[in-house]
Amino acid sequence: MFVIRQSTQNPEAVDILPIAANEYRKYTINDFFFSWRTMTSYLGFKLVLRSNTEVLGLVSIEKIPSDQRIEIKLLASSRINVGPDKVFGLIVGNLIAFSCREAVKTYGINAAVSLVPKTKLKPYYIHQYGFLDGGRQLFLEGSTLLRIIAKYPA
Amino acid sequence: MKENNKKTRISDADKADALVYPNAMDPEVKYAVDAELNEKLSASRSNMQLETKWDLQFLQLKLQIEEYKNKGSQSRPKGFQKIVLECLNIKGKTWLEFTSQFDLETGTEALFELKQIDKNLLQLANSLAIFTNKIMPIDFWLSLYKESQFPILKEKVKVI
Repeated sequence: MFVIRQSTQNPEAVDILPIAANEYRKYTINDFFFSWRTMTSYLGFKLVLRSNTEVLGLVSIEKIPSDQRIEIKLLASSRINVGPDKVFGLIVGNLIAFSCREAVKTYGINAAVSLVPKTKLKPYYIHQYGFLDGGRQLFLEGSTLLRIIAKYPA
Repeated sequence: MKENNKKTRISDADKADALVYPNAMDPEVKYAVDAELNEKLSASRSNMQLETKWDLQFLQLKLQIEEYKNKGSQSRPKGFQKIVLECLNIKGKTWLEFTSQFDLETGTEALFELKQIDKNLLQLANSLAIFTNKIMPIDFWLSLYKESQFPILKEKVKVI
């Protein structure tokens, strides 16, 4: 798994690790757009640079067994990795692909990943990540889910 | 102020890269939203191609084996046998195709390890043998035979 350093276009290895319970307070609005301490009831994961363990992005997911899907409750790149001057690219794609792999591992053929985007951003998610329109939510399943997993390999 | 606005203005694409917002929906609204999603999800699932099913099933097996290997022998993949059996039962797929998409060494190793903790793998061995013609090298079967007490595999080696 890798991200791209925008300045050089070189890939750099990253890992996705669970967020420990006592870690959430470190992820503040200033750095990650939201106070992540309110997300402790969900499963949280961080994408870190392998070279220095810097946290580049976070995702909070909920497994919903009755629907055989994973819902992405919250997802963010760190503030310095957003906008035209971001340091690294592919952070969000890797976090979505990770959620997809978790869904396949748990639910197999029926695996699905969904999220509730801001209405204005729906077209972007559909175009960029191949999400399908599920009404207010967007979702990935079947071939669209496999495509994201192939595009952002573990 | 103007400068500040300029500084913080972020394009839609960048906003999307920044954040999926937490949905603080009223439970009733969320229920309706989920119901709408499930309707579309069900339709999409029911139209799934056989090849896609195979790929997903196979990927599930691979991910579970990886997890099993990472965690060590204390943790057994959940539903492992069932997944292997389902993989092999998808029509039109052979053991050769199965192994060509799969790290055979890893898979075999995992099966051997599992054998130590679950004698019910006989069923799995049976299925493997049924789906296998003479396409696997004899060495493969001999090594499997050597490691295994499964009668069906002994039979298979005799046939070859």
